[in-house]
Amino acid sequence: MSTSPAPPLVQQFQFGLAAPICLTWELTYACNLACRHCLSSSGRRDPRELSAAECQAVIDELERMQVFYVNIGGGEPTVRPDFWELIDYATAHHVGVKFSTNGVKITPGVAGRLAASDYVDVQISLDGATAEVNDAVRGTGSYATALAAMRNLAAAGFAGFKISVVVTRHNAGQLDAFKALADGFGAQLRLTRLRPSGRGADVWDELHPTAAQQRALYDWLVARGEQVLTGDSFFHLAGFGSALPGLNLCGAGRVVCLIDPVGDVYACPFAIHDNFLAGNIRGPGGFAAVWRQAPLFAELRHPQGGGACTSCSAYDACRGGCMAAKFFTGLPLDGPDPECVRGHGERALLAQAGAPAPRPSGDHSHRARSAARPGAVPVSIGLRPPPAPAAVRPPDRACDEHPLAAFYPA
Amino acid sequence: MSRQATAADPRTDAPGPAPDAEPDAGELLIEEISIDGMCGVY
Repeated sequence: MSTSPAPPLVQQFQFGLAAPICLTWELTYACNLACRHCLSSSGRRDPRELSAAECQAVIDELERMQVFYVNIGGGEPTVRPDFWELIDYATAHHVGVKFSTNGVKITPGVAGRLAASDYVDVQISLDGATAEVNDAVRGTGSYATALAAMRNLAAAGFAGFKISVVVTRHNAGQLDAFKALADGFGAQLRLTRLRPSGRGADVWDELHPTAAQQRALYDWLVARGEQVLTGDSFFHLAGFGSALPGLNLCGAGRVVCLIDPVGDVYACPFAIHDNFLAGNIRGPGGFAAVWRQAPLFAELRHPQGGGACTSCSAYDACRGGCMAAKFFTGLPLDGPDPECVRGHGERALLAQAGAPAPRPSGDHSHRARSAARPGAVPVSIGLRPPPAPAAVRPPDRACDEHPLAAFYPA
Repeated sequence: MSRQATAADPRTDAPGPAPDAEPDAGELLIEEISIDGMCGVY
């Protein structure tokens, strides 16, 4: 029998696992907000969304596959009428849950119920440490909603809930304020990277942190170590020096994936595009068949070429960065990350300036009132104008002029 | 599983390697990973 030691886990992960360690599951595209950088372009529910029974079947399958936990999002998942029942169903079937919410349904009563569960974690989204900065991205009133939810969770004794912040050009200077806010609630700060996915593609140039902000962010994170969670989403910054806590590994299709509201399975929640669509859980064999047999996932589990990046001394640290960030900015997947800390991404973007980047699949945004569809005919709908005075108003019916109009006695 | 496992510092053993990989299970079990430390979860 061989006694050679097994490779480190991170090397195992690059070749994929028989089941994802965790997966993101977006339950609905419906959302009460319209965040400018929404990864899934959410707003309106899709009529094809999985039913409660289908969701329960997915949970049954995840239990059989021994998936440790699901990260539930949307849309705003709590607006699904069956949301709380599905959470209970998952935890009763040994699938832990963390869900991301804007806080709209986290009342004192709900917070108390969540605090009583050992198997549910909550992540409140906040993209500004002040209402001014937050609401500019997430919408008017969203800061107050999020803070109310945090107060309710803290008052209910829910320690360690997450405050999830997408780092942008406008909030990158508020990192200390975010940390203080989290500490004040007994919560944990979780910073994640802005991706040019979904509506994020439209605001990427405006919102993604500057090179100087990226450097400051890296230094800030290094100084705080594991006090601040990052979801390993800043592994592209490892080129600055030592790696941040985490695996420094793109987990797409290897150890994580996304199930979207209609059951489509994508390599990761930042890559919602047909190029990264592996299958649908409504197909034969369900989710397990997609995870284990999809050609796309098999391809992702083969060693990936680093292209020109392999000649860079930082490649072993950054691994070429985020696949989705490259794809949606129009850069080749074996090229540099658009936010490459050595500046290679910036130069690559300049070189292909003007070339169209792939557009994210699906748009569930709330319809803008002024948006006109091709071929639409403008129609004005409103109250009828007030009736003219009787003296000048034309008659609606002939008998308005004379009660015996059109009456001809025999 | 406790909240500790999913919240502040979620840690667990991996479900297991791919069927065609044949690592030494004993070696695998002594390693731990942080669920939050994997890119691809928001």
